[in-house]
Amino acid sequence: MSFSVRQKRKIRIAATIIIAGNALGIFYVLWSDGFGSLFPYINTVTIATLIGLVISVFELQVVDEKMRNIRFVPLLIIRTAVYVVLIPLIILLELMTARVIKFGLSYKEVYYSDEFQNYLFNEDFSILLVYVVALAFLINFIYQISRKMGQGIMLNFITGKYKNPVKEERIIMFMHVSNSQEIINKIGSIRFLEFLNRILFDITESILLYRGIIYEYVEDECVVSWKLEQGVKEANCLLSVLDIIQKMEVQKKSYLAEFEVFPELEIAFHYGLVLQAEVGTIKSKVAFYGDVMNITARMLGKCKELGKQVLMSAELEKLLQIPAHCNAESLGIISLRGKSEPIELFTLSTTDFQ
Amino acid sequence: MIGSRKKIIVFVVIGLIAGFIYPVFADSHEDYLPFINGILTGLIGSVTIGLLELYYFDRHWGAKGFKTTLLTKTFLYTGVLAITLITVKVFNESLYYQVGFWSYLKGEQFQHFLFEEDFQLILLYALAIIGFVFFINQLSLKMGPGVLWNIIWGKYHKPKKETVVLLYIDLKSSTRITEKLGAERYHHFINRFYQDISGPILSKKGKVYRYVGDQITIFWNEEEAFENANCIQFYLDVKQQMRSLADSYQRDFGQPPDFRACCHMGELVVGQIGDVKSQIVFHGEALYICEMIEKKCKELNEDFLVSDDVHRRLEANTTIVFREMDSLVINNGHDFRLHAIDLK
Repeated sequence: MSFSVRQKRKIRIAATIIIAGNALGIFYVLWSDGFGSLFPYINTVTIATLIGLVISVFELQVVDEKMRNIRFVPLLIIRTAVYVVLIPLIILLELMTARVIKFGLSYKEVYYSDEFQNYLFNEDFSILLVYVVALAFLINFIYQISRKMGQGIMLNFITGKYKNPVKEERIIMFMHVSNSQEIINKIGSIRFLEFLNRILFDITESILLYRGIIYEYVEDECVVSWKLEQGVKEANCLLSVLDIIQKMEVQKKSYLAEFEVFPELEIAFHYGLVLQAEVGTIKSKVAFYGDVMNITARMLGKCKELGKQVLMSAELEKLLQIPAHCNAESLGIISLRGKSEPIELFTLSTTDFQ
Repeated sequence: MIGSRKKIIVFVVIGLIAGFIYPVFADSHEDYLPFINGILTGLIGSVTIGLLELYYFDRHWGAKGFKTTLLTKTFLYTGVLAITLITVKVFNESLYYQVGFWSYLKGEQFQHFLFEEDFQLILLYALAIIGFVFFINQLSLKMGPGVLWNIIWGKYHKPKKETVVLLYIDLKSSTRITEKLGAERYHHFINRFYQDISGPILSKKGKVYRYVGDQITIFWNEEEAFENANCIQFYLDVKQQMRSLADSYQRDFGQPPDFRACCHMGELVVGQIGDVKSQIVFHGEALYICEMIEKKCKELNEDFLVSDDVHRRLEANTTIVFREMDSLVINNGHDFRLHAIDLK
């Protein structure tokens, strides 16, 4: 059985959620029941796996597909409310089912049994409810902030990983809207920001799917990076670029209908040694420094002149297994502004997008 | 310090709510005493914590790591709260039961509460709330004043127009210094510079918009920029500060930082963009013009240039003397008169 890239990503995320849920559940049982018997542990693992599955479906099929553009507070309230209803419901159903199987009773008999009524109204269940509400709120709140800060940023701040500069090889991709001035003149600055936001929302999936990390947005530019091995593996960085271009082609009509204009994207990518370091005190940022940043920016500037939508450095091309449906064509050795040494550039074409 | 009053208010509100909520859930008493204890503890505790923040952590703590700061604050403040709670509870209940403070403290009822009853739960509850509040507080500091707040409330979810005063600061001869120091030490150099100018930024009510390469963009809203000529005074403060720190830079890096700056204002569109990473970004011609002025600085070898729009607004409330410069002409034919400052 083989999965598509999209399915693989969903499975990966669902697995993470289920494992985290199990860990939380086992921690809770340890804390409240200790090692006494096996029964609570079997219940917990079943419950946590079920809850993990339901939450994964909710997050991946509902939130990711339909609710990405909802504001922070409403989204937090919706999420928390859904969790607070679903989680206790699943717990109760599972507990009842376990008793139905164990004692051979019907659901109704289990529900009205003294032991269950006692559990519901006099014992642990109310504490559990409070625990669920508080945890659902906290986890979602922190998760939403973390998402807004960017992939890995919150964790890097907490661990202080980049307090001292770290050198690492990374693939860097610069992308911008080449006809932005024209678009601004036509639709104005406010609409342009909405337009830009729409593009970023559309391309985000193509970046996440292929393990890219969004570094920052500068004016109409978006900078993405990959850890070298993750970007090279299965030519992820290249597939991500192709996916972005293809998606833009598919969405063309919808852009024209919404904004009366269509973005022309230009993309350049390259790899090299990046110095990553946390800068600033009243506003901090993990910043990238290095020649590769300048060179890639210059390459992006070359796109128009060479009449190519995508430029890739020869150094990177050598590392990548170019997929069968794609064709990398050398443009020869080209000199870049402000750089003494010219470099060989490639462009990409594929049979998929025309 | 900016926002310190706001910070205390936020703490007190959280303290009062937490103090009120706990007895609702936990207490078996049916009278008003637990609520008074809760509210008083919340109030006194949060004010004490607020004062510690203002007079100790904001001034003397410095730039320690995220985890160190978070753990220190969480445990210290939980301790503060525990002591406050014991004092408040013993004080109130000794009055209520009409026994002496010390004899109630040593009495069986209170000892029971302390070691066998709710006290440990209350401590856990306090630890969780304080940990959470200061975790968010520290993230917010990392993101820059107001950024987290604006993202949470979705202030710029729909882009809107705002008049913004911009100031670009740019380190001179960065290429040469990078070559001399190497990339890593250059980073320490530039980071020290950012750290040293954060004092003037805060005291002159500026905010950091972004760092790009070795350039930093500061901005103000209209009102705060011209209150006591903050936006210009900021530049003078930085100049002054760098003069007094020159020796320490000389010692550590072989040279003091030399920088140029320019200031311009205009109407910008402010909006929040991006899904998995969100940034609140500015958009508009003023950014571009400011960049042009910066280039002009280099060309004319001036340290500080101010556009006419800013200059006109300043005349009324400053004694700083400006020298008029050539105009900056941009592509579409508009020209912007520029003004320079001479320092004594």
